Order: sequence, then structure tokens, then C-alpha cells
Amino acid sequence: MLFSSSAFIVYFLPITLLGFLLFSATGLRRLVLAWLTLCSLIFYAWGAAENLPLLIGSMLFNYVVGGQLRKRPNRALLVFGICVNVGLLAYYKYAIWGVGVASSLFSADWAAPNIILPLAISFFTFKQIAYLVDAEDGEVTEHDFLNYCLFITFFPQLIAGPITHHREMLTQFDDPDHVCPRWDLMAIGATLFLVGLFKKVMIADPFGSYTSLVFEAARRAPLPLIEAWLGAVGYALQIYFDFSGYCDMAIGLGLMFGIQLPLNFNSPYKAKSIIEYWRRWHMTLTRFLTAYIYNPMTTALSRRRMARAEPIMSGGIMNPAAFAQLVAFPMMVTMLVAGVWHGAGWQFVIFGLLHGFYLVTAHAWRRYKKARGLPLDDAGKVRVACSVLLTFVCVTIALVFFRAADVSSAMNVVSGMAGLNGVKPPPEIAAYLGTIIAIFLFVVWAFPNLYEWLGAYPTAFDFKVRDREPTGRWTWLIVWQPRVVTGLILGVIGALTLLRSFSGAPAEFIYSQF
Amino acid sequence: MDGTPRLGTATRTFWVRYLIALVAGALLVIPAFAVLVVVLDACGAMPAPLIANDACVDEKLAFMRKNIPPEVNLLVVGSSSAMRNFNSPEAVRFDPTLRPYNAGLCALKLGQSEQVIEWLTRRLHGVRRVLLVVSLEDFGDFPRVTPLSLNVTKADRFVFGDTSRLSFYLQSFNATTLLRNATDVRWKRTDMTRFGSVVFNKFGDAPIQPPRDRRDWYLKFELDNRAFMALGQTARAMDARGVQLAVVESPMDPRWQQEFDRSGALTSLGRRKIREAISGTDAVFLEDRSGLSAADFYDAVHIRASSTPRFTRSVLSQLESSSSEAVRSARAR
Repeated sequence: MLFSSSAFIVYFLPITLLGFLLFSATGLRRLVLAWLTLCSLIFYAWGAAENLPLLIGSMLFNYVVGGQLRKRPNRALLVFGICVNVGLLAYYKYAIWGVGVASSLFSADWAAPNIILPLAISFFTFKQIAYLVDAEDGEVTEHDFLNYCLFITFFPQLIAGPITHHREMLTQFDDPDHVCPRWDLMAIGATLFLVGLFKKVMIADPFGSYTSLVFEAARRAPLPLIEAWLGAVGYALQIYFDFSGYCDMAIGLGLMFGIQLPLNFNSPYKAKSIIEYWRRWHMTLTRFLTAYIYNPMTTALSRRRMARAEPIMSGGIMNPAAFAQLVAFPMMVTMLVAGVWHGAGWQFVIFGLLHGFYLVTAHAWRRYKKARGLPLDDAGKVRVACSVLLTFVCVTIALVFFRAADVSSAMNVVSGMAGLNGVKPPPEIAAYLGTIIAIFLFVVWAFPNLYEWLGAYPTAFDFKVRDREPTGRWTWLIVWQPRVVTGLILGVIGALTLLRSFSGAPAEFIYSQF
Repeated sequence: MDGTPRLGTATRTFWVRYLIALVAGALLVIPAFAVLVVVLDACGAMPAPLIANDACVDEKLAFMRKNIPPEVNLLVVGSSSAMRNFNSPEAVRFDPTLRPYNAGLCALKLGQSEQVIEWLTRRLHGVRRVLLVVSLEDFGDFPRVTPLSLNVTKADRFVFGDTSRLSFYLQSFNATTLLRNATDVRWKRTDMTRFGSVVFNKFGDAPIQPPRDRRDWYLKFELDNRAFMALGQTARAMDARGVQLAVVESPMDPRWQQEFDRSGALTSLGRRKIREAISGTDAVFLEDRSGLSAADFYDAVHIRASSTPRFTRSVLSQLESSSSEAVRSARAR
């Protein structure tokens, strides 16, 4: 079920909210948690009930293994648990691709298995791997099956994140200030949901209708310069508004039920470096990759170097061999995982490796500057603007691989962006589209994001921009405040968005495919 | 929660007021929209509901809803080549027994023709002859063009059903498109000298007589085999329904041929593929013999209104002779 579908907005959400209010009124907290879990399972099973046993089986398995690890830490059991999770993900997500690759490698005619990717498998697998690892590390303090089920299945974050961490979720389930109806959170949640829906339906989807044409054309022939850039930047904006809109909706829905989800998207195109970009884009994925892949690899490799008495630093700076082993290698592996986590195909491998290369270059550059005693961060508006632009261009190039149907299509776009396919007169729509792109790039770069706009109020977990509500006569124009006029305006925009959303078949969220 | 204190009663009132305003704002949209519809309607600036989300097609469907003909014996279908180039009044002058109805829809793909013909022959009783007007461009492969999104069931409910128009506006709501269409729908419905106009005569033709040419609409293309397969399928389906199908070639501007098909190879190939596609069926293919010159075109495929009678007469003459020939061969059999 998509958040923008009429099934969700007209039926599922009101019924779930009504039940939530009724059960909360009884004061029986367990009943509220059970209701939310039941609704989340219905949400998941909607339209694909055959996937439900897999989700439930996966939760049962991980809950039992997690319980054992919590009682008696056991490295072999942990490895077994991780292997089962990764194996399941590999089977469902990569078997078809793997058979295809093997067939072409061995010139065989092996039929690809008929597997349908279960919704959200990448998300609930990663969350549960984190749970197992932390259980083995003794960091899981709570072990209640109902809470665990709600942590995994809570519908706002189930199908496309944020990838929540058990600590931030389970603590809320037992807190009397959470998972209870609160008018303030209901109002803020509704605001976030409507603005997110607006971003998705009114901005991202129209961009998508053009970019899908460009990328479809790229499947057949190389693109000329202007069309390639319009398609690539148009897609960068499409996925920006799609993903940020989705995250806003998820966080808003969580708040309606008194649960704060972590921030997942924080104006990534304002990043001044690719390192900062990954701190702002899909933040919970970055957090997972850093905590459960990059850091353990770096720690293990550092220990090995130390055991062999190999030097790590020279003159206060990491030496090149140590950099290659302790930064570059783990970074490339981590980003390769990030790439293939997003999808099965060589284009996702390239997407991941490209970002790995960007990150390694950025880290090397920082170390070079440090060695030379240069300031690490750019100062001055022009330098900052150049850094932001360079980061955006790098991200856009990588996104071409992310969007393209295959590597050759992606190369047809990238070669066009490099000017290798000539500069043909742009299509009729180019001037219009170029103007729209320029307007939205300005919006993305110049305006505060939604969470900064609502900065004085609780939104995402552990995220607050200001400590107090700003005062002043015209403040309400630039800073969100729960005034009647703001409510009326947002109500009108929300209704127009809802009508638009219901007017045809809702478009799929790009991230829900992962 | 982030150190946020629990709300007191006064604060709760504040938030509840905001939520009520949010809901009120949302509810205001429906009456506001109804008022907008009434005002735009009164000014003649209310665009058609977004059934296919293409202004040209939606205006045509709105015309069809208002003008369901009592009797039709010649159904003209196809893309804009059919809608712009076929001249129904001239057809009636040519043969007064003809009762044509032009259901040409802009950007209609060959793959959608079968559905449209099936739909209209089911609804318009008595249609036993269908002219499918196609230009070579209709068989072209244009990856950068969005395929027309036409839901025939929805179009049928709109054209022949009795559901209110407002309901269709709400079902297919898009505020930006609606307002954009509202800004230019008045001249589109009245000024047939401008590109994109949709001035329909009572038969559903929408010819244009622009003072200048549209030179940026001359495109190079490859032939798309899927279009020929769709044509073959349509021909077989029409046979099965007992409807006589004539595939009519609408000419390409000689300037297009000069630029992109100087040897005529593409045109010959297209004609051959059309014949192959309909072979084994009762459908006939009427090659273009209108002899139109560059001055008769305002872009690669569309003929000026003043030249459409010539094209139409040429088609009907051929159709007449092909019918006589068919009768003769039937008698001989």
C-alpha cells in the first residue's frame, strides 16, 4: 500500500487512527501496541499477502536468535543468524540477476528462477541484522515480542525506511509520553504528511514523467548534450523530492501515533562534499553501513596491522598504505554493499563503486589538506558554492547509473553529458523544463528544509533546530507556527494534493522497490 | 520527548484549533472548485475534464459527449491525421448517403485503434464501414514521446454515460493542468488559424488553416514493427466483427520526404508493411493519390483546411472503386 493511494488515505489511515484513539482511551498500552502491529501487518499484506509468512517467519527467527544472543553471546550463532538473513535477501533479491550473470559467463542457457521480490525485504533484513549484532554485543536491553514486532513492522517505516534502530524505537514503546494520542504531535504529523505528499505528487511525479522518457530514449541510443543533462538533473530533482517527500510522510505518520522516527533526509544537495552528502542523504542507511560494515572492517584491519606491527601513522598523518587498507578498502566495500542493496544489476554495482571512489577521493583530499596544514572546510561564498556544485554534479552522474535500466543506457546518458554525442537542438520542451529545473534547484539550495521550518517543534527523533518558538509579527511567514491561517493554507494545499493523488493510479515510490 | 513538556489545556486548544483549520481548509476546496467550474463555464473557459490528460483528446471526447450522432454509416478513426485531414462535409457532398462521424483522436497509437473502433462500433449502431486514416508517422518509433494514456472504459463512461461532468473533473483532478488549459481553451475552441485549435464541425472534424507552417514538427523516425502488428490485429478483429476496414494513407509533406526520405525507400517500405499486415483479411489499403503539394501542408503530416476536400475526394473515389471491385470479385466467386 502506498502512502499516496486512496486505499491508504481514505480507509487504512482513518481506521488505524480511530482504533489507536479508542484503545488509548482504555489505558491498556499493550492493546495499543497490538493494534498498531496488527494494522502494520495488514498494511504489509495489502496486495501481496503471500509475503506475510516470510515477514513473520523472519521476525520469529530473529527474535529467538536475538534472545539467545542476549542471554549468552555466541559468535557462531551470530554468524549463523546473519548468514540466514543475508541468504534470504540474496535469494529473493539477487538470484535472478546472479543466474543471468552466471549464464552469460559460462555461455549457458540457465533459466532464471521465477522469484518475486518481497516488499521491504532489504529494510527489515538490515534492521534485524543490527538487532542480532547488538544483542551479541550486550546492547539490547529489552526483549519483548510484541515490542519487537512493532519495531520491525511499524507501517510508516516498513516499506521504505527510515531504517530505524531498536534503541530509538523500543525505548519509545515503553515511555508513557509516546505511543499515545497527543494533539501537538497529531498536528505536526499531519503537516509533515501533507507537505511530504505535496512534494511527491506535485513535484516528483511530474519530473518523473519527463525523465522516464529521457531514460527510455537512452535505452536505444546515445543522448545529445542538453537532453542528457536535462534528464540527469531532472532525475536528481525527481528522486530528491520523491525520497524527501516519502521520508516526511513516514515521520509525519509516526508522529500521529506518538512515535518519532529518525531523520533520514536533511537537504543533501546542500552538502559541500560527498562525505557531508552521505551524512544528509538516506541518513539511516549511512548509519547502518557505518556501524555494521565500515567500522567493524576498519577495526578488524587496524588490529591486524597492529598485530603485525605495521605503522599506521607517519608524522601525525596516516601513511598511504594504511590509508589504502584502513580507509579506501573498507570504504569501497561498504559502498559496493550500499550500491547492490539498492538493486540487483551492474548499474547498481557501478553506482556503489562510483560513490566509493568519490568518498575515498574526498577523504584523501582532506588528509592531504591536513598534511599541508590547510583548512579542512571551504570558507567564502564562492568556494562553498563551487564545492556544493561539484558535489551535486558528482551525485547527479552517479544517479544516472541508479536510474538507468542497464549500464549501456547509463553510458548513453553519461557520454551525452560529457558532450561526446554532439550538441543537437534541444527538444521543444527543453526551455520549459530548464526553467522548472532552475526554479527547483533554487528552492533546494536557498530555502530551509521542512524540519528547519518546523524547527521549534518535535519532529524527527533527536532532531530540533531551535529551542524556542521565534517571536515577531511576520515570523509565521518564514517559520512554521500552528496558527489558524497556516492551517487553512496547508489544508487547501493538502486537499488539492489529495485530489491530484487520487485522480489516477498513484505512481510508485522509487524507494519502495528496494 | 526532546524535553517537550506535556501540553496543558490551553495549549491543547491551540493545537486543536490548528487541526480544525487544516480540515476546514481542505473542505473549502470542494465548494471553491464548484464555484470555479461555474464561473469558468459561464465564461466559456472551462476546459474538458482530464480523461486522457491531453487537451486535444479531452476536448474531442467532450465534443463527442455533447454530439452523439443518431446515425452513422462511416466511422473515421485514427490520430490527428484523421481528425485534421478528413473533411466530412466534403464526404457528404461526394456521396449524400454517407453519414460520417470523425472520431480521430490526437496522438492515438495504432495499438489503441482497435479498442477505439471496437468501442465506437459497439456504441454507434449501424457502422459497417471504418476508415482508419494513418500517416507514415503513425508507424514511427518516437521513444521521447509519451504514449497517449487513453482508458477506453473511462472514455466510454464519459461520452455515453450519464455521470455528471463535475464527477469527472474530481476523478481526474489536476489543478495546474486545469488552470493552464483554462487560459487557452477559449481561443482553441474558436480560432482555427492557430496550431492546437480544436474547432469541431458537427461531424467531429477539426481542420486548421494556419497562416504559417510548423517547421519544427518535421522529424526523422524509424518504423516501429509493433505498430504494423497492431494494425494487422485491428484488421483481423474487424473481420471478426463483420466491419469493413479501409486503411487510408494520409500523405506526408513533400518537404519531409525531401529531407528524410529522398529516395522514397521508407515510404515504400511502410506501404509494403501495411499491405503485409492486413493481408489475409478483408481490409483494403488506399494509398495516397491526392497529389497534394508542399503548400497544402502546415507540418509534416497535417493538411491545411482548404486542402482537405481534395484529399477526402481522392480517398472516397478510391474507396468507391475498391468497393465496386470487391463486389465484382464477390460476384465472380
